Amino acid sequence: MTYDPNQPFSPQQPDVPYRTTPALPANRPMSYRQEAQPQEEPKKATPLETIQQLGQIATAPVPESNVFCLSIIGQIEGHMILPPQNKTTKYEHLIPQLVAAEQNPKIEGVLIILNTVGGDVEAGLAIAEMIATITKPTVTLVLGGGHSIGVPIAVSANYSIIAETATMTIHPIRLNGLIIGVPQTFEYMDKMQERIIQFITRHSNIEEQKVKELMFKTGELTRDIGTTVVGQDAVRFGLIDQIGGVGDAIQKLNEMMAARKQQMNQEVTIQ
Amino acid sequence: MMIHSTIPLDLVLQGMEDTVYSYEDIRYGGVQMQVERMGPDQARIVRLYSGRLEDYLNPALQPGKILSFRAEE
Repeated sequence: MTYDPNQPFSPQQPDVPYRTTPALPANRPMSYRQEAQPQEEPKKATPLETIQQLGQIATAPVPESNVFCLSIIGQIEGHMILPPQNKTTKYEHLIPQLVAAEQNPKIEGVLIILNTVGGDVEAGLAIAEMIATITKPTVTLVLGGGHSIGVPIAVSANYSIIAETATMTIHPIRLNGLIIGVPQTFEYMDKMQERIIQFITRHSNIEEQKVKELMFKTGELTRDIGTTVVGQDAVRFGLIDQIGGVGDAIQKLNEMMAARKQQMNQEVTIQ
Repeated sequence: MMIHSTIPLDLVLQGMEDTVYSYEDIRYGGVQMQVERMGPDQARIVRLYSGRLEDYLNPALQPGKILSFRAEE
């Protein structure tokens, strides 16, 4: 079976469960009207038909982009479906997309646009690890906000850019659910937090001490402890590489893609 | 599960118990997927279970896209 998702859904396809009425038998008698109609003589093809049959009408081809753009917006949805008032980014869809971006030879670079309020810890770290291990050039652009678990994602790429007005909230994680023993719970939380801090420090220029200082700062947030880092500060702390916008992100990505191509060509010549 | 977000948890999870999902699994164009039925001839893609890698990059198969089924004549 040929596959074309742009075609309307066809119930004739064998793997489709939506069959409403049984198909008519092939040997059914022809109706009276069909029999009574005289056979039309075959017409000569009009110029328009010829054009359609040849399929020669040329339209300007859309140039295929070599950059794959991924947007991470709203809540990062993890193992639980969040209620519909949340705008969510589904990790189970993003992960195969990143695999496809890595594997597809037509894609030479990945641009990740972030405007997220955080979300599931595991899902967020999974996406961050995927982006960090892509061999093609990656650039993240934080617009609006890259909060909480959005921070490791923002630093995961080869190069990170933040808009001047964008903010990133660094605050401690907390457990939702049953607390059985306080020391064990504390240890577990600490371990989870350590995963996030370690990831951030490994993939950016910020010191571990600085992340912890920002994370546990009091008097900055109204409902929480932690810090809201605005664009310029994110760069000053070493969390993000540069202040900029979409133009800077594309320019940087193009530079990195060109450098990678050159390097690959050199390797071929040496061999 | 742990949610690390700037949105208070009670707001994130609001209405969690009241939301009823009517999802069904179909196979469309060789891709196994979960859809939400919107009527007799339309369904919205919820997630793809499995497919070829390029299916995940296909704009026509992104979650939230509406599939229209042609009624059989």
